[in-house]
Amino acid sequence: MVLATDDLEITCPSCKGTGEGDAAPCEKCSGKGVILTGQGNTLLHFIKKHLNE
Amino acid sequence: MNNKPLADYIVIKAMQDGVNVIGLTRGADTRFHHSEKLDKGEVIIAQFTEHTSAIKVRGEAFIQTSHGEISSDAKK
Repeated sequence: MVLATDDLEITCPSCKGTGEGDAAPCEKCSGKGVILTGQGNTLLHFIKKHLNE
Repeated sequence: MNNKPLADYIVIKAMQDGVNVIGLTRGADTRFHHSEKLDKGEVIIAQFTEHTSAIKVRGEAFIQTSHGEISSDAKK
């Protein structure tokens, strides 16, 4: 199985990925510019859990 | 008495590749807390939960809810 970046996160439709809103940072994505998908969250939590083993 | 033991849910079928389903937070501030990318033909059944009070669909999709059916369109 190959994961594309799009499978892990999508660009915030509010700030278009800049992370900046009218009064920065973008309040919709908390300034990240992206929104994690279910797969993205799963991978992130897995790596965080095992990173220091 | 509430005859619905389960919270409301909606069914979304992607009619094109790259449809985004975005969950918005419940509470004072409305943020995007989760997203799912659907390719053509994929279906997601999503429930309104303690954390999700609104669902945004971007791209061409067919949506069924308890209120009826609706189609979302691709961005022109």
